[in-house]
Amino acid sequence: MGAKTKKTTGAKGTAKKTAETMRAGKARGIAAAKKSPSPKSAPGSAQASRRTRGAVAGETVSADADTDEDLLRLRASTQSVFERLRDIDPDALPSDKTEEYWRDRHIARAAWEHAENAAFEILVDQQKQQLPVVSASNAKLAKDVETTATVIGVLNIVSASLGILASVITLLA
Amino acid sequence: MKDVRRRRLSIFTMLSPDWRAMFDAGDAATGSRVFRLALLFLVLALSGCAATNIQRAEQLGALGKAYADAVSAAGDEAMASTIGFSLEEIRKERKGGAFKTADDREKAIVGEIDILKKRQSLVDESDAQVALLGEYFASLEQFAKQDVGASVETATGGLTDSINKLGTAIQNNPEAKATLSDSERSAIAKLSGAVARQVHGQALARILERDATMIGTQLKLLSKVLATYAAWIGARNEMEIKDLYRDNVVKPFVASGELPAGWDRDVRNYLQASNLSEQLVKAQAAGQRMERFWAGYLAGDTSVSGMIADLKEVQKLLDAISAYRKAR
Repeated sequence: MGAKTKKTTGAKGTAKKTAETMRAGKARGIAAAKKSPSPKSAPGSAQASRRTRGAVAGETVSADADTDEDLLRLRASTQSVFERLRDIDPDALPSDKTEEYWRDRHIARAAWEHAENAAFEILVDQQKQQLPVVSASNAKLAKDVETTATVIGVLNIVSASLGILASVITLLA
Repeated sequence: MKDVRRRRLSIFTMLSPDWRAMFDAGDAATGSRVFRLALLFLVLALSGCAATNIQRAEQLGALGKAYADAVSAAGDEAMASTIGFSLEEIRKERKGGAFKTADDREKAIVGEIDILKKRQSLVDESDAQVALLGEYFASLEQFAKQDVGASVETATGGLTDSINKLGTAIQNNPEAKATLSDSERSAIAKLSGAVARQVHGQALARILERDATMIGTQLKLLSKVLATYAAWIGARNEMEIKDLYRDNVVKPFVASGELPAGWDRDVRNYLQASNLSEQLVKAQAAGQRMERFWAGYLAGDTSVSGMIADLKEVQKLLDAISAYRKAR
């Protein structure tokens, strides 16, 4: 029971930290899962259960995450935890471990999705920072198009004016 | 008369001394022929340079717009893939007993909706930026396509015509001859058209030079956005393939007894999905190729056909993924 509580707290910690990362743009104390054995190499319900625990509880790696690279690492580590949980066949788990497995899997997935959003948010922010530059280029381009049209327009106006002037002179003569 | 014509046509000063001498020595007809020949050479020389710049800008505009559209379409597919995957997962989690009480279930679904809402708003924001860039490229293409040369040619034709009318009116003589002959008027109009095309080409080259940094930065960002979308789709696709393989391909076959009726179809689905997953790597790499293309373009490489083919492939892949997702 103690192990179970510890495990769940660890997974929730990951999700909470991911949410904090989203809000502050920083992640402090990223929880990364310890590598678990390959499910193919050790089938069986007992080993599967241990894998569940190992994948979710894991060891905590502290890291300063104030750049998008940290967020990308966070995304990768949360994805890795979720993938390892998914690799476990829930049908092979003992019935008393099934609910726990699905709870952990839900927490791991939510953490991964939060991390994906946080990493993408940084990218969208970078796009937003470039918005004035793109807008300025669009405006300059529109001005270039307008100037060209104006030059042609002026040429046409001059031509028309000279034509009118010629007609007036002829009439006056 | 010749002197007047010479003063009025500044182009004459651009002719070589030999040609000018020939013009001076010869009769008006010879001079006019030389004059038209010189104009023809100038028109040809100017047209060549202008065409390259205009074509480059037009192709880049079309390519940039197609790229922006492809990234936007990838965003739609990535979002659809995310929603489908998350809903299927939360359904399984609910069935597996992840949420014991009604309160837990409510928290879970509210949390899930929040994540998806957040993602949708981020994709929308990104799409808006991508659309702005697409607008830039579309304007560039339109500006390059604009036949400035023809418009100026027509306008100049009208202008010389008006000058002739004015000259005739000032002379106040019904039998007075026009200052410029028809052939000269036509030659001047053509030259002005060619000059305008050249100016247009140079303007486009200047625009590309001016905006090179912005385009480079945007292509880098688009490349990252495309890679993100491809990663979202790819990761979910991979996970689903694993499930499909384990639960629908291997398990039924390993079990004793008759195979389920849809087993063959599941194996085919698995093979198709695996193939799509491999191709997704190409989509991720398309952004990086676009960045390399831009570097090459700035260095003078005008070939865009490879990149256009790349984008068509990405579009086809997105269509295939969408069709596969809808068919499941």
